[in-house]
Amino acid sequence: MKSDEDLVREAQGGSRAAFEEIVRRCEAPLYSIAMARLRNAEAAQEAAQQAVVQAFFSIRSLRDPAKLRAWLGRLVQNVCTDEGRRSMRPDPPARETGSVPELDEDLLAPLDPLQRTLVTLRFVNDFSYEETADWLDLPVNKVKWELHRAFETLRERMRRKT
Amino acid sequence: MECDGARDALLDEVLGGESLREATEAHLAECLSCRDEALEIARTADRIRRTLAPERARNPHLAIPRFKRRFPVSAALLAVAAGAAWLLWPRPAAPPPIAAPEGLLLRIEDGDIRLSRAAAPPPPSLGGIRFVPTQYRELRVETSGTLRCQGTVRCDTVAVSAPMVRIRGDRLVVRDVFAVSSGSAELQVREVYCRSLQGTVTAGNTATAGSGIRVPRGTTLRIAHPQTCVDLEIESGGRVVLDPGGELVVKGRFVNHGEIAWR
Repeated sequence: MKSDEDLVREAQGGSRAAFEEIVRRCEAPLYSIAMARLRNAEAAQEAAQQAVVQAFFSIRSLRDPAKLRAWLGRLVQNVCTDEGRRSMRPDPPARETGSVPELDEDLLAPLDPLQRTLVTLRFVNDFSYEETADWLDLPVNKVKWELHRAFETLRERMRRKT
Repeated sequence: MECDGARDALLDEVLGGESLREATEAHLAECLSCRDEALEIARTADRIRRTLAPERARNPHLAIPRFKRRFPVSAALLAVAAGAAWLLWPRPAAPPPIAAPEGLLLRIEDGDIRLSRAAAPPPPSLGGIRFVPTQYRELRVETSGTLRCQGTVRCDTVAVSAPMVRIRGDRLVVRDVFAVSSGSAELQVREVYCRSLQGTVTAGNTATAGSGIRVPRGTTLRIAHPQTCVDLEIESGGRVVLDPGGELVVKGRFVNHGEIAWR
């Protein structure tokens, strides 16, 4: 299997197949990050899609192919930030509930966006600390610390509920 | 291993860190309170997993743009590239209209959405946006973001990346119009609804459906749907009564010498 770096170089050279493979590998975490940030399946799908389109048009600007995941992670987070700003306008777009279930707001509500993202990447994508750190371009220790805090928050919440 | 270390290791294992199972298990075999802790951690993790299970099952299937890059494009040039791509993309001089089942035609062209009337009766309503029945009705939309087409009304995407259009409330939002692919996609419109009633409300006339609606004085003309569109003339003495929430959407001729009332 080709490494991410190889795929990036090929995609930068114009290989559509390489880009497709990148998307195939990365679409799930892209969606997860968007879902954790936007908490809406439809909006998350849109944001992830938009990140892919941006990546397609700008992959040649990625100087360090080893940083592909961090780069994609940043793209999708930026899209989510823009989307968040848009939805704070006076006339926010109506969120339609699609066929895709929403996250359990009740459970994840106390977490901040970063913690939600970490929890989602861990429990949806089964990412290790290192993989999560790669995607979010964070130090592993920061990932660990925030995940522990998030987990404790959730545990405390469940305790109180039961 | 002490209790603190064991608990930290238990959390690490659940949360994606290095597994120190052997060392942890040795401690757990001796420490009842850490065994309880381990159980609770497992329960919490299980609850989170179950909560997120629908997301685990979901495959986002992101579409890949089909635009053929011929030169490097930086992020800063994205908008320029998109615009240029529109110009460069080969497309028929006048794309043939595609008739939608409900008589609606949605065409995305050069960053605009055009809604026009197909063969048979009329368009004027699209997710709360009403259009007068001119040949083409242009709806200018923002061109950043994503488009998704789903559903029942055909949407001729002359050149859209992943053809996506969505309707949010009363706005048709079209974003990320990149010249990427041609073809058609489907657009879901929750309420495409327009019964074109044509006629004259004249005092003393008898109502007949079809060629026209003529109603005697005081007769109630019910507008069956809030987005029903009517082309009519209310002559002196004629009266149209709308149901609550009903609105009269008049396309074309509308002359009112009579009265419009809401029930």
